[in-house]
Amino acid sequence: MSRMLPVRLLMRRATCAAHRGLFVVGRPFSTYYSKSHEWFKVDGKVGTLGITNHAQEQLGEIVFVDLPDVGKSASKGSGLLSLESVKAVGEVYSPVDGKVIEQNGELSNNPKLVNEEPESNGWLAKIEFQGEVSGMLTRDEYDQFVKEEAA
Amino acid sequence: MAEGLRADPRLCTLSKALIYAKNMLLLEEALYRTTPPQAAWVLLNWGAGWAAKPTVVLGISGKPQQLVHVDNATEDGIPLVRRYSGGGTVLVDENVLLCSMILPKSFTGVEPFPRPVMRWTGRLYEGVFGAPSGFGVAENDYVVRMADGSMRKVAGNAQSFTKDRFVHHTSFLWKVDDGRMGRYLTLPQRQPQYRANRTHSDFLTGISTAFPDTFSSPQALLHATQEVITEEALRKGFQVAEVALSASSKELSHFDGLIAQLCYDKPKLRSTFFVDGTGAPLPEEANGRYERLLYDAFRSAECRAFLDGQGRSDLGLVV
Repeated sequence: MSRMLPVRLLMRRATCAAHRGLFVVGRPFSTYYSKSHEWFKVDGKVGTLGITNHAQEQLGEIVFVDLPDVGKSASKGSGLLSLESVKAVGEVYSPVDGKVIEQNGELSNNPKLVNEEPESNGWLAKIEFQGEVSGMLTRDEYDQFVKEEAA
Repeated sequence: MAEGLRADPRLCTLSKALIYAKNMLLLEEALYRTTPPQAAWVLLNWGAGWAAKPTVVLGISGKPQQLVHVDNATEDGIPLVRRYSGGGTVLVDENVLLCSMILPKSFTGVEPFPRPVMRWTGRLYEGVFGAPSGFGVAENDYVVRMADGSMRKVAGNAQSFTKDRFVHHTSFLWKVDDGRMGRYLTLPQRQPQYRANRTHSDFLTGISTAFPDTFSSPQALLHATQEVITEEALRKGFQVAEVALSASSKELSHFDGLIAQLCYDKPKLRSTFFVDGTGAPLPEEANGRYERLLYDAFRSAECRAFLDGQGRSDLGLVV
């Protein structure tokens, strides 16, 4: 029979675990969104960049991803890479100043992964950045923005 | 006043025979990448002179080995050009008109994505062709509905998007020469569904055939497009203006300067090149000497002043 721990003890243990986690890891962790339809998942000073589901739906089938080279500088608000769909090329913008430390090599042979899993395995690049993330939206704010744009 | 309204607008008229496909596309790319994002440009071009210099134009990642009969093109001296937008392969000769729009988001009011822009431009061109004309949009093409209910393509489209502005450019077929087309262009593997595997001659039709009473000449179609986009611009509160170009005009050298700026300041962004049969830019494209001369001229105070004025204009029509 499992022993039911008192709630207060459970909460204390959870708090300690969280505190231990913060103490050991010491990193904020959050996903931000842009009005140019990128998402940026931050883990400490590294962020993973991709495009939102709305963007991939609107772009159509992605046929080519022009991935940025590792080591390439990223500049906040500037184009970092481009995606090609059947008839169109679209720019993807960096939300931060920093440097590309990894590209999603899967996309070289399988660009459709951006359509299939845009907000997970279809990520585009990882950026090591300086400073804080600013000027971006929460998920709710982004969803609201998309609704207003489409109206 | 509508957003984007500025003083000193300009409208640009190009002498058609001077602007071959690759130069027009390079000028477009330069306007797109180097002018302020609130500036709007429309380039409308057709040249009888293009008969002397047909060009195969590929999309940004198009592979000549798959899309072009490279041996035939090489034998006949037909250059291959990579453009900066997505989409398929076109043979640009005297049977083709090129209409390109570089528009800020604010001009159309639609989301800067392929489908909304196709719908918006489709409506614009419905106005050009008049209603009811049988002109319409099917997937990414402009088509005409035939008497038997089938749809034939009269124009192809391609796009490029930034967060502030997009390019939508169109190649209209005035006449179909499927022999010439079939000599240089393969049947594409990726086809729109409505094509249903038809050959060039069964799938395409020319505007001169499909709309014989609407436009007496390619120039008439370009003129009608200019009128409709001008009306739209005025309706939106944009100013429209015109600049006449000739081979020796200041304006032409200033546009050359924009091209030089693209080649020189933003070489990694540039996508419009002559390419070889593997899709690699030709060696002479890497030679920056011509661009350097233009760039130095471009940096003059007079040129900058002109371009700053041009860059602030709301709608430049290049006809």
